[in-house]
Amino acid sequence: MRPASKELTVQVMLKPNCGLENTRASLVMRRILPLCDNLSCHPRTVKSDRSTIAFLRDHGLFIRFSSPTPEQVLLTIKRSFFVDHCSLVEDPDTIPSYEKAGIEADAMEDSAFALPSTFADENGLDRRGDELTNLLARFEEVHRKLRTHAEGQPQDRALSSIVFSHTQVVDELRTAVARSRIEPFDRMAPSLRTLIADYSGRFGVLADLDIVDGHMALDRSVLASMEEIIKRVLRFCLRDGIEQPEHRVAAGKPARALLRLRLESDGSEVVCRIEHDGKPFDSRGIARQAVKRGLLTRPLETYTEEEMGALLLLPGFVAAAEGPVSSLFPSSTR
Amino acid sequence: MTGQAVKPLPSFFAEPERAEFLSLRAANAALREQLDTMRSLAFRDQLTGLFSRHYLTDYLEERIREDSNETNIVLALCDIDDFKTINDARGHQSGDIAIVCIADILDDLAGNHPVIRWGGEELLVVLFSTPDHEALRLCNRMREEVAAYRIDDGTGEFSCTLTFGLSAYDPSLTFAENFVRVDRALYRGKETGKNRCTFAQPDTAGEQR
Repeated sequence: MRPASKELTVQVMLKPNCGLENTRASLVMRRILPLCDNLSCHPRTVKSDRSTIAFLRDHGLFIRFSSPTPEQVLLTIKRSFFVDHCSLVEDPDTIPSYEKAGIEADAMEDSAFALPSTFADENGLDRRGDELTNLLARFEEVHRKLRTHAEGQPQDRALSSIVFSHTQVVDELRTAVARSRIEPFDRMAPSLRTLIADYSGRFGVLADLDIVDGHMALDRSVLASMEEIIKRVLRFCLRDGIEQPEHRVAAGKPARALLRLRLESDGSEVVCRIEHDGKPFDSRGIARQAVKRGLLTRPLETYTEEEMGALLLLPGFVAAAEGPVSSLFPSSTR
Repeated sequence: MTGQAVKPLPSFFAEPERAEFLSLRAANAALREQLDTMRSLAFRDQLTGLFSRHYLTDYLEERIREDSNETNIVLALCDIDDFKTINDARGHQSGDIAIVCIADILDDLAGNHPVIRWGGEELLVVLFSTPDHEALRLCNRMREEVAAYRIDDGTGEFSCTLTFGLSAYDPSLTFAENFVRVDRALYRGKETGKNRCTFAQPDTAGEQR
């Protein structure tokens, strides 16, 4: 197995007043994507978001990548016509955060290099994966026609035999394609651990992550959608659920909090439970936030505790960190 | 790019004149090189960063004429399919964003071959020292990559397709005549369904001018 390449961060400044800076930045990313093992940029949303232009003009585009050929990556960046200059960033703390105006300001997008999903790979694997699925569907369609035709010619033994073999191959191909999309949950573990390390540093807490039954294998797209939500919940737990180390010790708990991710499956459903030994969850607090922001569509009393908690999972929901607003899940004391 | 043979100095040159002559010749060569660099910087399209049409007519044309006697040069002219529809439906800025993205993809895949913004939505790639089949393969790759790329104009995503007309440069014809051939190939591609690469057919007696 190839040793992991070193992760580098560069600052890319575009030519002044070149216009459409966000599009040009996303095109630089497009050029270097095939050369990198890992790649992310800050601001993350340059391709679709014109409001990143001001940031790009003032600070440039920050690219974090690891590649077996980092020099080639730098060369490719510098060769782009609209790149004015590109320099290595030694101290990642100097990277200014991107504050997008509006309610999104406190969401994950504002942290430098909000970690890309382990499984979403927009211009690469997913497209090829869809291509494969589409091809398989077309292949099965042709097979069906062949079979129908063969059924109309029962006297043709050779044809029947061929169609039989063909059916076997189609079945095996279908299984193989499905199997190729299966990944173990553990594949997102490094990404989650990095997130825990980043955010616990940010919020001044100490926390460890434990994943139970992470070997469970699921379809790639299912994992990608889970990853988004899990990261949001973990962030929320670290911000509002885990106490500062001094408070924990004073309460008789270990200074390091433990976040446990438990995967359960009954065959048709997969459940991911997130538990921790921090502050107990106060659903009323979340509900009050939601009321204040006019998010409820029916009277507060009609919401169950579970539904109120689910409000937290809404992207961009900001639960103000005031008072004892706490974690989502019941605490389990150790 | 000078290609000048080093000629012996006339014998009647005295020593001081000889030295001056040599230094002038060296300065001339350096200036020519600078001029080439300046040309490649100045003859640029502001929106896409590609070479402008002037780059071709004022400079590249000469080089193509010279090189075509020795190697195979393929002209590849592409046009964005239904571009007017995009401009009308999504606005001119979306159209600009599309051109910027497509230009960049072509420039990236063309490697060292020059890409020229020939018109509003027309791009010309000049493939020096490239056999026909390789040129066709490269243009198909460009076409596919552009078709697969999702362009984002801030209000949503969309894709564009390109039609390519290709023609091997015939040194016995003028540049304009060669260009007509590639333009005709492009037209044929548009007429037969777009989103394809069409090579120019050899001139037959029945072809219209």
